[in-house]
Amino acid sequence: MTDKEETPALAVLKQSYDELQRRVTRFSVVEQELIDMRNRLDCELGRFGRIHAFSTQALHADSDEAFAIMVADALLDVFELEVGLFWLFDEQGRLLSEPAASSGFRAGHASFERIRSWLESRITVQEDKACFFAAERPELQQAALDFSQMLVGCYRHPGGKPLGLLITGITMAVADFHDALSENEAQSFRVFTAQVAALYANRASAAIIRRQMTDLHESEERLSLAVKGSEIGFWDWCLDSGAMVLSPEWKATLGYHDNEIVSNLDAWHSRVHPEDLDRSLQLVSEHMAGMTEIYENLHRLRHKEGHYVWVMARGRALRDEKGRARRFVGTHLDISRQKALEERLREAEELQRQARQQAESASQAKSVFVASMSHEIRTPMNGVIGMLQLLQDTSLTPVQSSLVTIAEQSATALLDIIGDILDISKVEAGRVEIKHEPFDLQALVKNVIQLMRHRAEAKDIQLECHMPKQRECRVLGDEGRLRQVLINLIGNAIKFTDRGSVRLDVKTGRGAINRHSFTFCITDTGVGISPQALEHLFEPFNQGDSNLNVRKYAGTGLGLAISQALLRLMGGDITVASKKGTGSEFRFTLSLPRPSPSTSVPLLESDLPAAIPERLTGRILVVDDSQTSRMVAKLMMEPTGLKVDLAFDGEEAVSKVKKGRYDVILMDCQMPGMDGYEATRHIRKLPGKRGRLPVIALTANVETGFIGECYASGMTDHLCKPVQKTSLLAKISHYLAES
Amino acid sequence: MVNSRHAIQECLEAALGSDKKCDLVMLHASIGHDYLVLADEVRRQIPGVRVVGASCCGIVGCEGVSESMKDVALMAVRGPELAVAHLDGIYGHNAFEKAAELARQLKAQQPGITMIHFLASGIDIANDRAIAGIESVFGPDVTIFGATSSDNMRGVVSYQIVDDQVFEHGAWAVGFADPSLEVDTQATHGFLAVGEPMVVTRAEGTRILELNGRPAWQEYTSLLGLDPEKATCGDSIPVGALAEELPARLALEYGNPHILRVVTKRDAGGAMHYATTIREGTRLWLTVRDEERIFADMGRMMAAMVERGGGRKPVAVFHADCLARGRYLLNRVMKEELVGRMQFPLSSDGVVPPWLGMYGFGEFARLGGVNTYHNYTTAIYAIYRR
Repeated sequence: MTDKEETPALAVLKQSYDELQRRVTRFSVVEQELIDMRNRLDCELGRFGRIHAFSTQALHADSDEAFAIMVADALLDVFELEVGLFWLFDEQGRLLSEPAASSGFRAGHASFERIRSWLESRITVQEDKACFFAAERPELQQAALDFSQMLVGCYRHPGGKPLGLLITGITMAVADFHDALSENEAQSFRVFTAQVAALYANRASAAIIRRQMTDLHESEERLSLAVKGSEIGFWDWCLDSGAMVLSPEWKATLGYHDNEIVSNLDAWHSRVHPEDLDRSLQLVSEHMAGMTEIYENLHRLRHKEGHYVWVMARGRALRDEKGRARRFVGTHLDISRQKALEERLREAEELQRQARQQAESASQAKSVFVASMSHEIRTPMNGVIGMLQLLQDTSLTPVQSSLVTIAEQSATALLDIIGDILDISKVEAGRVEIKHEPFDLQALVKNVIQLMRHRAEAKDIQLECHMPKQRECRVLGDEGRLRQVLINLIGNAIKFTDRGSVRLDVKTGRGAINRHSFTFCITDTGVGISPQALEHLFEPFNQGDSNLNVRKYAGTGLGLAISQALLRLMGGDITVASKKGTGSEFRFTLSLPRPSPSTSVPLLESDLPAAIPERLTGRILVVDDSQTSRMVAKLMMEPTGLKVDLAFDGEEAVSKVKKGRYDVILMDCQMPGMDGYEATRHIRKLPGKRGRLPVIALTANVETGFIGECYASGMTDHLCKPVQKTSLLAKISHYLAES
Repeated sequence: MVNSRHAIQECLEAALGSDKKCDLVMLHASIGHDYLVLADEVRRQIPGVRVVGASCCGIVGCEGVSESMKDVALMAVRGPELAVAHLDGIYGHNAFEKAAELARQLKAQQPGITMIHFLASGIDIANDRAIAGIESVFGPDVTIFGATSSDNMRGVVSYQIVDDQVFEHGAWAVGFADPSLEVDTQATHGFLAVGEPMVVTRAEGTRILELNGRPAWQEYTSLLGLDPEKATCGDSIPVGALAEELPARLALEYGNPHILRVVTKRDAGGAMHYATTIREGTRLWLTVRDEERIFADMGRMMAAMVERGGGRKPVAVFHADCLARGRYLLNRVMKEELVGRMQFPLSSDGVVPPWLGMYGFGEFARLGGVNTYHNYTTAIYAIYRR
């Protein structure tokens, strides 16, 4: 081959060699591109790994501040840029003045205010739910921010309201070390922003869950404390497996530590008191069978120290769909203390009952005593007053007559005192019974006024009565007690009035269905009552003003207390208005039922004796163990022409009635041997006219019970000792006329 | 960990636990960190400690390798036979003088220094001159190992940390005077030179002004198929390792007939910054990577080191790797495999000795018994107790 031939060949060879070298270097570049791509993929994988690591870590952020710091740090960790900012919006959708957290941010990069201003101008134009943008150097420099690149991601509330911003970027100072942000990084940033948004939302949910957990924990804590405080034990019996759980409190009730008793059924069964075992098993069995809704068993369990404690077990079986009990769960409460308390309470109640009984006995004894005293005083007073009345019928000088009158008045006053004491005693003992019998109120008022008029006239004061005129005013009530109240109040008014008048006003009010309402107002122009005295006016033994000359007005001071008590028993109450020196007004209202139209109302007999004939004819048997009483009666009646025979006890009386002929019998009640009641029963058994003889009880016992007993034994009427001569003769005259 | 203070706190905790007594902390951190904060936190936690460090493109520790913008690794050193020196303003034109001055500082502190960990800026420096400067003080028998700092392959700037200062063109050196310690160093790359070499037709110091009679950067990138106007060192370094021919005796030890060089920076006028002095007429080959050879040479090097270790296990290992051998060369799996192959032979029962590695611009390791500057290599510095 010549040089000329070789030269082109060499040139071709050289050209091929150069081409080969270019291909080799080109191969290196391509290979490098592949390596770079691999590296980018690795980076991408690394970023997602770090996002995952961040997510795991952020889930455990224990505060919003810690979460924000994690986000800002993660921005740098994941994207390997220079600055990371986590910036929140306020409720109005405005960025807060500073980011919640920053990482890598140094003074001199830019002020937060400037960044915020720029961000707000960029974010507000976005309308999608989450927005992302990458800001490049020109835009950032135009905004006077010392940044070369910036990635911004905004996450929003589902309603569109922006919640937070994630920002990462690099400043001009380090720009040369970084490539332009790639689409891969932008995509990763979107993923990261979405992840932060989800975590942020989760935190809100987690906060709710945490709060609920805290509430639940507190609730459990309270329950636990309550259980410990209440010392309630629990038991839980799985019927399928037979396993039983007994709480430490259950065991502690019986004096055991938790590990001292194995939790099984025998732990309970073996400790049940033998007397309670059958019943307890029966209760369990019944509940298992569905016969009871709740298992309740008060039984005794043996304590570690040998004694028994009372336990209240309550439980309920949990059943399957077929109603079969699968589990039996309940509580166990030591009620030994309650039992002991109950026992003590029972003892206390017994003591109280005994005390009450003693008090009642004492009260009864007091009442009996008062009644006895009344009887024992009235009996001699019957002699005194009777004798005085008889003495008044003899020829006396004016002075002697005046002295006898005073003696009689004093004796009557003493009787009033005894009557009041007897009443207050009954009131205090709660032994006053209010009758519900028909009576005519108008007639009652008229009668009371008639009774009191002579007292008023004696003091030369006016007694007025104003009551709507009604043909008849029939009501149901206790006529006697109402009369007592009216007499008391009017009597008081007359007593404390020296001049002027006493007035009774009875007004009808609006009654309820089948009831009448009456307001009674007793007004006087008397001495009046001071405010201080008014406060204690209705207390027993109180006589109004202490500086009042009570001796002048006399009395026991029981009248108002009795009246108030009686009115309360009748469903009313009494009020008083008074001014010292100008008089008083006592007022009470009673609502009294109307009797049915068919009910007859007995005509009220006037207490004033009817006109007594000067001469009477008849044979009267006076039965009394008191010789004085026999003598008084005899002396009162014989001057009128009556024949009077005497008997000193019931037996003699019956004997005389059997043998003699009498028109009326005056019968004392309490006598030695055969008493008046027994004697009357015997007389009523006598045949013919003898068995129908009028028997008038003559008793020093003025209580309703005694009088009722008189009628129950067959007596016809009664007179209370001391007997007023006129009353006695009126009764005798009445029955003689009948016979 | 992204927060520099938190990151170094974690490192200190992992390295020292609760007993934070030490005399020197050597740290490497990638370019995203705040170096002043790193140093400050070390000094705050360990009062009186000396701190030296460098920016890098990634780190290697006992736990493995990482190449992010936020990596940090450290080695804590205890002992009285240490000397630390530093200076600023070291460039290609004054590398000898500055290195000599550095060496003198060390010698003033510890005359008996037998090995020196040297670190300088990886940009605009003549590393061969720096070696010569140090040897001018300590002689050629002193072993120089270490690296040059880097950024993340941008060729913009790299940083050197000394106590509370951070330099861009500084250098520091740590001298070890403990006679019971010795260091075994070796480097390997596994690249193949291809094609016809380029000839340096004009050069000044460490700068290559022309190749094959054309502006150096233009000629270089055009051969690489890159756009000279747009290409950066980050583009050229992974694909553009330059190879100088080694003498035959060194080639045998090296396992490769060529030693590699890197272009760390280019001037606006098209001049390329070389890491050593370069003479006109030098022939420079382009190279291609050969993964099989990379792994094979790594195995060969580690076997040689283990043999030289004579059954001993190192008390600590420093490691300098070229930033082009990390993520820019190998995918993550292969990179970790490669790191595993260098760590496993030096491990004891699977436990990797204290290990501080970094991805920098260049590496120092002895070759043929001479302190030598390398590029594109993995250089291992195993410290043994005699």
